[in-house]
Amino acid sequence: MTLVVLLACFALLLAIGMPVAFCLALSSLAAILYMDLSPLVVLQRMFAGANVFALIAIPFFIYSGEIMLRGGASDRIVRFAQALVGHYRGGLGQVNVLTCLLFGGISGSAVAGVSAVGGVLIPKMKEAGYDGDYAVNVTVASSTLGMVIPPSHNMIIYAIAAGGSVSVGSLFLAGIVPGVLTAVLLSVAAFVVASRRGYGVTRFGGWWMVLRYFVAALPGLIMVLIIVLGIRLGIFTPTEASATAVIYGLLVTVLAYRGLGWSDFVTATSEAAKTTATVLFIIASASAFGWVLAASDAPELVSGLLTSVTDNPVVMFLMLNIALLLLGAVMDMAPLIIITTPIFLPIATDYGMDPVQFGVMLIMNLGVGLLTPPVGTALFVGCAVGRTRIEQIVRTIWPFYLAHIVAILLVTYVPAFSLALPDLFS
Amino acid sequence: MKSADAQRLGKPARLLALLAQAGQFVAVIAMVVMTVIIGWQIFGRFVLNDTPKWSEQLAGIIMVYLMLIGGAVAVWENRHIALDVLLNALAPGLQRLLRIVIYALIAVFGAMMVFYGVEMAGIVEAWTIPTLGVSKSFNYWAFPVAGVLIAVFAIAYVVILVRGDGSDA
Repeated sequence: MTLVVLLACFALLLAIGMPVAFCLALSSLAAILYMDLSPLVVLQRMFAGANVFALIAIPFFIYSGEIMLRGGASDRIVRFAQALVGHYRGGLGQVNVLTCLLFGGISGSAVAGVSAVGGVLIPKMKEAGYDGDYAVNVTVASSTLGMVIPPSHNMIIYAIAAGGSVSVGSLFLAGIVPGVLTAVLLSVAAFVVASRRGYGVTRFGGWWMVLRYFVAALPGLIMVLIIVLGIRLGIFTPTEASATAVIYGLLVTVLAYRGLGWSDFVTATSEAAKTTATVLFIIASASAFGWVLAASDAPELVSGLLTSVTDNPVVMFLMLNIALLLLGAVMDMAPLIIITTPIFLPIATDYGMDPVQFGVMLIMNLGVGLLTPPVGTALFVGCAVGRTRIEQIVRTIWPFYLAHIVAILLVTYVPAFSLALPDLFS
Repeated sequence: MKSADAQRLGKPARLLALLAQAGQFVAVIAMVVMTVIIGWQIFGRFVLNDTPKWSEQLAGIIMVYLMLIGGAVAVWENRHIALDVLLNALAPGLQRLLRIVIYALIAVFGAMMVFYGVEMAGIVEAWTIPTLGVSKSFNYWAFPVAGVLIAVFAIAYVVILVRGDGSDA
């Protein structure tokens, strides 16, 4: 019954347009009152959900991404990508995918990726004769690459939600191949659509130019390497690695790029603080919600239901994927990681999936949720940046959805995609 | 908050905007201080060979302050993500009514944060956080502070919506 109160309140509030963070908090409050507990419990769970040492990495990864974005790292990555892949069919589309892959690693946020990469490339693509919907499709679909390419703060949330049994270092390594795989599939989609629409190419500037722009982009890209290796080799904790990323980002943008002035620094800090607060607020509310869910035996209920349908892992994993895609469509990523992990992870491991592989699969699925209405944050931002309407985008984005789905299925059913790299380094 | 809304409230709105700015200032300072604290921890571990024990504890508490006060400012700036496709499809009158309900409920939650935040701080008042040497209530004071901000901002929206003629609600 508690479960009914919780879910009914949540659904009702969500439907009338209540901000998601308050939907979670208020429905938890209602359920806790129904359980005859003090509202104090809600605040306690919110505090416990946010006051986790490993979470401190999140503000820092957001902050370092902002610094790199405002300090000139993204422009350099665009130029490098253009020199490398601009001469293929649908050239600027390819540039877009590669830029999102490289920049996504640094920023770790799909929304930041869309506004940073899209802000530069969408106008450029339109100018070069690409249709607006294509430009937005490519940008939006590629923007989620950063969530699986390390450092990714969503992976840290997953590591916490999984109860400390999954190492952040392994997760970070596990995301790299699936990220590149998705990028390859997206660029195939971009190629096919571009060929059918007859988009042009830009001239190849030669390998010398590629090298020159690579050197210029390198300091930004090295940040990813420092973080991944630093954590994996046990030099840093994830928190320390994230703070190092901030300090390194400041050094690169101020000293090497000379792109970060005082006002850029203030803006970067202010934006990072804003994003951090809203992300953490939703994480805290989701923890309260998750606590009520656990107290109301929802995990047993869902797993009983799912396991009664099938004992075949192939079917079970497919059902988990579908459930995650549907949930991702109506809700944001961070709360879903916190809420679904305790319910779905035990099922996945029972059916023989490694927790690290599950984490990558989870984040890939929820990433697609950022591209699908009704709650598709990356999609909305992309439409705003590209000045296109959502209906227009949704009609032509399917080849890119398809690329994502194929990547998700490959990662789900071929463990080597996610697990080979962490195994290699263990 | 839109400027038209702010005009309708006049002087109180300017005060509220100032309050939001102050909150944002606190959040920014918290961000910088956290960086310095963890930066110091890294310095301590690698250079001084002595990892400070208080650093993560303190950074974790500051993060809660950043989250709650920044989260309150986000109420004023309307930055919390919501599913508003349904809401936007409704007739203006009904839309306005639902918005009033939404903000009223947010205000209730803010008030709850104030009341029970104070109670919670009182309960743990006598304990100290070992690594920091301050009362454990320090953990929870952010709740009533942010609760006041959330309630005030949300009530301001309710007032605007109730006063407004609904044409631009």
